[in-house]
Amino acid sequence: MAIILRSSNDEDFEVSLEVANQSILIKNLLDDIGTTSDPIPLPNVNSKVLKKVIEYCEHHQHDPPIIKDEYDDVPRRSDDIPPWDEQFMKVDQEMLFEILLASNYMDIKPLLDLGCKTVANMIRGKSAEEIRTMFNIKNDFNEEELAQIKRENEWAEAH
Amino acid sequence: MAFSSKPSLKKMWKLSWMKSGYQSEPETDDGANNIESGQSSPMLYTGPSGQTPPAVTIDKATSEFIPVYKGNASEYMPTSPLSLSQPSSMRTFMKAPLSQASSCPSNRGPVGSMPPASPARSGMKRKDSIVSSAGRIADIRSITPTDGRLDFLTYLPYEIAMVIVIYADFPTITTISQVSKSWNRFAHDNAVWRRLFLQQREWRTPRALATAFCNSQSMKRRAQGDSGNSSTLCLSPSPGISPSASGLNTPKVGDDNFATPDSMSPLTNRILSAYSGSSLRPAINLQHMVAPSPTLSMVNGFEGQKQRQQLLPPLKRTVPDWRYLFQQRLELDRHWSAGIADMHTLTGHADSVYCVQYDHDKIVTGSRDRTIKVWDSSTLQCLRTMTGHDASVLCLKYDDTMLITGSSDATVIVWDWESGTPKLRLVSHAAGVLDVAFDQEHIVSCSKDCTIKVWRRSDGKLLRTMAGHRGPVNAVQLFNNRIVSASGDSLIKMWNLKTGELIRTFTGHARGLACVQFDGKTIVSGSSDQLIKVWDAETGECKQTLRGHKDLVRTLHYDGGNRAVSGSYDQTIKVWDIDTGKCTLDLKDAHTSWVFDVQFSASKIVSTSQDQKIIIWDFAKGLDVADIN
Repeated sequence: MAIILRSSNDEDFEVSLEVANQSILIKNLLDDIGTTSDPIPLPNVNSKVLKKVIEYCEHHQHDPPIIKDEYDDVPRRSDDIPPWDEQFMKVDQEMLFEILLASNYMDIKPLLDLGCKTVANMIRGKSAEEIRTMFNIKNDFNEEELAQIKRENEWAEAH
Repeated sequence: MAFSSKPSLKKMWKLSWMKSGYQSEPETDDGANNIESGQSSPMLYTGPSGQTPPAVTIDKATSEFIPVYKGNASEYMPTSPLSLSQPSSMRTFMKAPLSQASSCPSNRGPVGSMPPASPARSGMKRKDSIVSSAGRIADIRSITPTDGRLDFLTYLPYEIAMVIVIYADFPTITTISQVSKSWNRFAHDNAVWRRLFLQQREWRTPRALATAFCNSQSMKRRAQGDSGNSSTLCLSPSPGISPSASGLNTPKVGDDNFATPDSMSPLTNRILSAYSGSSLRPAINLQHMVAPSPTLSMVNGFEGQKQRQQLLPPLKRTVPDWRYLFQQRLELDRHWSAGIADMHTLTGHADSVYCVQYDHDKIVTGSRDRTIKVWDSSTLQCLRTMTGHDASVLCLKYDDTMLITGSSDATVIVWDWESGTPKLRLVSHAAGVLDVAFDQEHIVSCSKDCTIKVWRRSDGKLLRTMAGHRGPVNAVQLFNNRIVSASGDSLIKMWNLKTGELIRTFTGHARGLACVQFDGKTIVSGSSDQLIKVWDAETGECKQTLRGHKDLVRTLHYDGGNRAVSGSYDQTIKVWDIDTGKCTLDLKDAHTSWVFDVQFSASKIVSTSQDQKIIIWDFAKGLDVADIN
């Protein structure tokens, strides 16, 4: 049974039920109304992003269901991204941002987690200045404020 | 999170969704809400001052202000798919399934979603729950970043940004706090610190979990007037880290600041369900967690500062300051690695003290003087002395309902806590009972007679006897129908509790074993060969050998984390990291003879010895960890 997903810019994508069901948004919808051959509109996701999201879902469609125990340490580790996922996430910041929003909207938790981990890994180990440069952020602290923050952080730096 | 505003599509862009992120929009009854007046709305978080809003362009021709998914699919999706070229009719569609959806409790939402079961979270008025799910964001395409770089943590919905911060982990938060004012708010968000705390596996003690999910301990203690160095969250964070003190503009974001129902988020639900799925962890009443009291929910919702202040006072007593608790817990770890502890000695037994178990209130010990003593944890006074065995008390285990002891007199006694008298006497072993274990239905004992016996807990009926060891069985553990035994024959054996069948034998120690611990996955054993070995229970592989003791390793405690504590005939007690195999702390010169038993918890080690002493090492020295130890 094929499901048709319609992007915000009215492009249709045909996917299998298994692939579609990885989006809890769509799964719940299909549970409620039954499978349908009508296109399912995804007004928050444009075709470029939807294509990417579907690529992820297709690759992961045979993943075993997540067992509870696996989440015992969530969100402990972000250094455990499998190679395919890591490669998949090698996109520009805009796309990464849109994947995060789309996976949140479509409720695809593994993808949302992957996106969060990817951004976390970009941040970790960098200095504040490096982070500002990476994300184009203006330092809006004055020196006094920065000094105050450093004082607040002393206890943590000591460890 | 909540992009919860009236579904007034046409004005939505003013919400500047990227800025307001996770902020809820206050609800008003009519369409002319505060959004119209723009920045002046005191309830709308418009981003840190001085921050230039990102360029948002609205392509009139193509962009509708699209609903953001907030809960059940049915809330958003029309009952039958329809073309989105009719945004206004879609709204009509949306309402129909909504009423059904909001009546069905659901945790199905994505991170940052608001389950329909908690309408209060997005606003004070219940009826708003219907429209509150219809937050809007501008179409993604409408962002025009200057050069492809994006301030993720500022523009993403707050809940998602928070997950990123948590993934980035504790040390990174200090860097994050220095990036910009917008980023700094995460370092002042109680919900961030709460999750950072819970992220540390080793820190999730039953009491910390209770504090995190129920606040029961704090509420109880404070209700009793136990003020102490209280760790409460005030309107502004605790002294020293107050944003107002620092003069920083750190707007209060994150409803989670004010109540535990951070548990609304699926992420926390996952953590919760993980807890409840593991028998090492205390059972958590999920229902209780995800259904906070009405008061909490109300405060949890976003509303004007005035309303918040009105609602806050009753909460002050109950919401812990997680940044403070994090600090305290981190300091406690430092005490463990540096060996900073108060030492207390309990004396009273007239001979060697063979065994000990303790909890927050009491310490229970068994001795060669044939008695069992119960000590008060706070006053260190002996509360009760129980007699019944005709020889040394070699081993003991207890829970809330009963105490079980094994003795050189070859019997096991099941004691009644209330009366302090023997309730059942299990007689069948041919020699001294060296260790006992139990679960809800069974008692397992092992003996110098080389056998292991399984008894029915309710009436003491002997169910089966397992023979197989060729030496005295010195220690036994029970976990999920698996018995693990350690014997003087230098072997560890794993047995099926129900059938008595031998599952696996672990070989590797050169001499007899004195002690063993088993958490379902990992076995840790101590031997007369002076070594401690860490085994994979499933494969039988020895993963680690811990070297350091200079004599027989008589006792071990391991609770499923990476820490293990051992006691030896070399008179020392050692703390180990079983992952690295390193000895992290060596406690010498305290006991003056063989160490017989040790137990540890988040803040203490209690040890017993042939020198007749019971020693308490309290690593919480000078710290306020009563809520989390």
